[in-house]
Amino acid sequence: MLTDDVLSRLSQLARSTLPLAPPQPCPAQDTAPDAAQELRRETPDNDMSQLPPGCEVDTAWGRHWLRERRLWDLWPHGAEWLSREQIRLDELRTQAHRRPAELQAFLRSLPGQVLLLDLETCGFAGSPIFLAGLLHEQNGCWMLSQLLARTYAEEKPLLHTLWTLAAGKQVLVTFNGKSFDWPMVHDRSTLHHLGQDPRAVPASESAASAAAGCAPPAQRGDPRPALIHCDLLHHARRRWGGRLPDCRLQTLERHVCHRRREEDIPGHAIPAAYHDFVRTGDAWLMRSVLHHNALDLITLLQLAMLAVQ
Amino acid sequence: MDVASFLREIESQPGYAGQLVHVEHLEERAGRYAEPGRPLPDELRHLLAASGIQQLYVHQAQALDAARDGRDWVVVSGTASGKTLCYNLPILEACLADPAARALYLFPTKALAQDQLKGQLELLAAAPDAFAGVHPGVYDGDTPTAQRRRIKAEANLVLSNPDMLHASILPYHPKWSRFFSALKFVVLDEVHTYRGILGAHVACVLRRLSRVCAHYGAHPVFLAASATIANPGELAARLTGRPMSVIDDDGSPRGRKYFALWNPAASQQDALARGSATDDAVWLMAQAMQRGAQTLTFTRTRQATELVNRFVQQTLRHAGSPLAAQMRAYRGGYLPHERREIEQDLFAGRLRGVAATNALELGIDIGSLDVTLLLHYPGTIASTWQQAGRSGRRRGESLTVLLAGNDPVDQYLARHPRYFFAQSPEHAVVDPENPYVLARHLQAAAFELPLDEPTVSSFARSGPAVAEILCDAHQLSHIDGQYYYSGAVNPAQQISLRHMSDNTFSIVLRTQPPRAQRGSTVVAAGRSSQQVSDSRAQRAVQSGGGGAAVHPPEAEAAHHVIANVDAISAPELVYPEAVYLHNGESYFVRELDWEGRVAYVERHEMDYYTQAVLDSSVDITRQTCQRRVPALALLAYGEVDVSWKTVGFKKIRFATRENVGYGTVDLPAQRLPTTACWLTPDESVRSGLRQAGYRPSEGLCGLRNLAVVALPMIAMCDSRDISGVVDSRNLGASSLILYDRYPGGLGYCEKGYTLLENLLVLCRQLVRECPCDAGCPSCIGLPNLRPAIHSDPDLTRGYPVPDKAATQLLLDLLCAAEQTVAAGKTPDPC
Repeated sequence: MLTDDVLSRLSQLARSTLPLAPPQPCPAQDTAPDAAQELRRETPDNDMSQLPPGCEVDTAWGRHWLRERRLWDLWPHGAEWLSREQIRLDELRTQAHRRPAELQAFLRSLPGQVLLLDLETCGFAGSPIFLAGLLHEQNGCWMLSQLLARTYAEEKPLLHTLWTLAAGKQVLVTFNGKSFDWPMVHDRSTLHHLGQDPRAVPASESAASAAAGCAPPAQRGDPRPALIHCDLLHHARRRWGGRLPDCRLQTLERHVCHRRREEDIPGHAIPAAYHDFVRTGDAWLMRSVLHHNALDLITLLQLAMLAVQ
Repeated sequence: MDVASFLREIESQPGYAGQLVHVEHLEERAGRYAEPGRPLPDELRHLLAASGIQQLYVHQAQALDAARDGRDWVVVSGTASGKTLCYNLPILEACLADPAARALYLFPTKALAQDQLKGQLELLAAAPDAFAGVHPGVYDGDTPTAQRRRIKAEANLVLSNPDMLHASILPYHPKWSRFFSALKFVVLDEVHTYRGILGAHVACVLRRLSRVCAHYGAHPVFLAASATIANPGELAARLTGRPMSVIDDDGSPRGRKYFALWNPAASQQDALARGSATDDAVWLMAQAMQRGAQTLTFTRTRQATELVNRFVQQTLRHAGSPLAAQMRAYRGGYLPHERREIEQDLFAGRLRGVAATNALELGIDIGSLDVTLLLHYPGTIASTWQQAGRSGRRRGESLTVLLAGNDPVDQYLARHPRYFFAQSPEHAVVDPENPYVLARHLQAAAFELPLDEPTVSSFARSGPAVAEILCDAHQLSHIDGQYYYSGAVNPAQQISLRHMSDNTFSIVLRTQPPRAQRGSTVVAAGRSSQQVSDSRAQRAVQSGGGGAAVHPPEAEAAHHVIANVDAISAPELVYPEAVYLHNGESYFVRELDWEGRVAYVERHEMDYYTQAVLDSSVDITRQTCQRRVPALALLAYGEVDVSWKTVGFKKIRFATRENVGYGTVDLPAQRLPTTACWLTPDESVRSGLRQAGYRPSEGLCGLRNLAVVALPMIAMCDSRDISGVVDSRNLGASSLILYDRYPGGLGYCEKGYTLLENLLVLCRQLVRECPCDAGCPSCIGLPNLRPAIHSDPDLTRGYPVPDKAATQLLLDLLCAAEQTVAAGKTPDPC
């Protein structure tokens, strides 16, 4: 029996060396069904310059905006797809299938203990977070919750709500979140004095336990919950990397999830769209950003379900 | 060393022609000691005792007391006065009391930080148990990525520089939250270097730092150290934005010091010119070294350093002295480990002589030497005393000799020694209100943390106005009384604190692959590169200092980097067919790969060296606005392109210094697009000058030299921040063009445009009040502001001193009409 340690080292090796056989060609025909069939578009409001329907959330640190929907309202096929997968997953849970610890934890924690996260920010490290998109299960129903900072001042309450939602969860799922999203959430929270006392114990302890696959101990004095982080970028690379031109989220979406986007706002245009929205209040571009974020989250969920098998 | 008898010996040489024009005696002084208000903790006393320190000097005790009280201070003292202990003592004391305490040290160069780290580690090594919890670490551009996380988390003493703080620490401050929340002290070393443009930037960076500290609940005490300048307290206060106590009662002992001025004898051939100061310096240095004196010669250019090194070695070899092997050159461009090696050898006494540029002027500890020779006036009084300060034993005598060149400034000083010794060091000017600098840093500050209105005002009086401009440009958003950053890119990445190219060229030595086995001696001209690199690699490991060791690559050993040069100097130093001098050896430049930033050289013993010939020009590209100066001249402001390129080179034989050839070079020009103001006197003024027998361009040259001194007083910049030319190419008639030496301009010459009348009045005052006859450094006789980087000053004919009378007449004509115009009217800035 190969130990976890050896397995993870072998998988690292697999990632770093090229496959001996030429990679299988990508599907010549794009069999992705029309996106319109997959995802229900927003019914056009009368006023496209306003944010789509949502509500204000009041926190101890101020307010922020929230758009919350049931996932199946946005992704009607999803319910059907998930129930099929669910049966398969139930079988998998009972098998002694070898998979990485993080994916094991994900499988174990489905559905109620899992939180999927995708951020939209104003740039790279040091820039503010303005949108936190979350997929989580609540009372037997998958919810897509999008926390939006309508101005830069709403970032702190947004983060506060994010931590509150994370409190009941065991496993965090992201795409490239170990390098980007989660450190950013931590740093911005530190900047806003949310949670951790900076003089607490160094994080080397928690790093060691995360490597072992269990939840790291919360740092002394840090009220923020610590989650097992399943970063799908790494798992996707291992699983599908050889066959695809790259491992970007939208590439995986197209070839693994068989979905295609049309008229999606390009990533590099998102920060400027947000700055314009803050300045003018005109939300028409923000609608695209919210939609883009929602699509990213759905893909994240699908990839997670597929990766675990 | 017995200086008096050395000087007497020189005077008694046959052929001595009175070159020693003046010898100033600086009396010795005894050390003055004091006890701090509360005694030092035992552990610290033991630590000091282990380094041979039993008592504190007066200024060290004062510094300790002030720091304990939480008072910010700036300590002003010469080199080798125990300045470092002034700030290390209170910091180490704080670390003993609180193991979590943190301190940030800012040095102007990476080399200084490395040197300080070494010093701290040595100090702490004496008491490893008591100070087990104290971990110093350098965090700068050279710090390997793997170490950075550890330093953030664990280092209590972080040694860095303002550039790193600005670009890599402050914008990512949450990652440093633990450090900032525990920060007790901020050390600013060599604070006199933060003047002019750099000073304006550093002032903003320090305000951003204070803000971030306050955000994490910290209020560190600022401890600054400065060389002797006229206004250390004012400078430090402007930089930090808070009042600073001045501690300048230097209690360190000093042996007797002789300061001599040396003017080379009149040359035989040319009655007007003098003999070479370089030759005299070489001779003096060889003499001093053979008398057992450790000698340091400062030169003004890198090539002069190499030449002096070479000639001194030759002289010593001729005299049969083994000291030739104890002579080295030291300058920017040498690899870090090489520089560390030389510093250590100097400190340990293994080197008897070093020729250096002002790279060695800053406080890196090399011990105290017996003799310093200053080959040509360093340019400022403050620099002169800094360099002179490198010689000065605690006990015993030391000597500094300033050798005058053909330059009019040098000659003036040689003729008027009292002028030099009466001058107080220059004022260091810094203007934290510069709106161009402020705008960039307000963006960076907003990126770090939202700015509220009181904070914006605390940056500078003009803060709120600048912030509004930024809001209009959508760089900042003003929401509910806070300013947020709403621009596209990380603003700190758009700002460089120094106008120096980041690109360095590598100088790569090409050798033939050795036929013998690797590791055995390879015979080649002079020392083989293989041998050289092996011994260097060994020493680098031993020294353990900063910088990567140079390991020859494996099998082929065909290329390795022997030095660096910054991209601005590269076309003047390593153009194709140049002779590159490095540590006494000559190399021939085969190829300059402009895109790849590499110069390929081969080792060749040459009998000549080369000197670049530069072509430079200023082109007016756009006029933004213009007006008439009381109907006597046209004044305008706009954009210019300053460009310079190497067009050729002269070949000069080492032995005879004669010109033996010329070559051409085809390299891209370097450009500095910036802003400028220009003045064209009308025909009536020009004919007025001609009638009096003067050339109008002469008067303008004199005015240029005056303006370069006077404008900084009005525009609150440093004289190195602006420059000027006189030409008729641009406007068809003789014009004076003054420009900012910073890409895009910083508003200094713009001020000159707006306040020209004040500038002219000030210039006229300067020249009228100067008691000299025909011009002097204090009025119209300044050196050319941008000598070619590496030329031999002995060979350039001194720039002619403009005619003082012509300048005075020009100014009188320009200012006279003002009195008829209504006074007090400031023209609208455009």
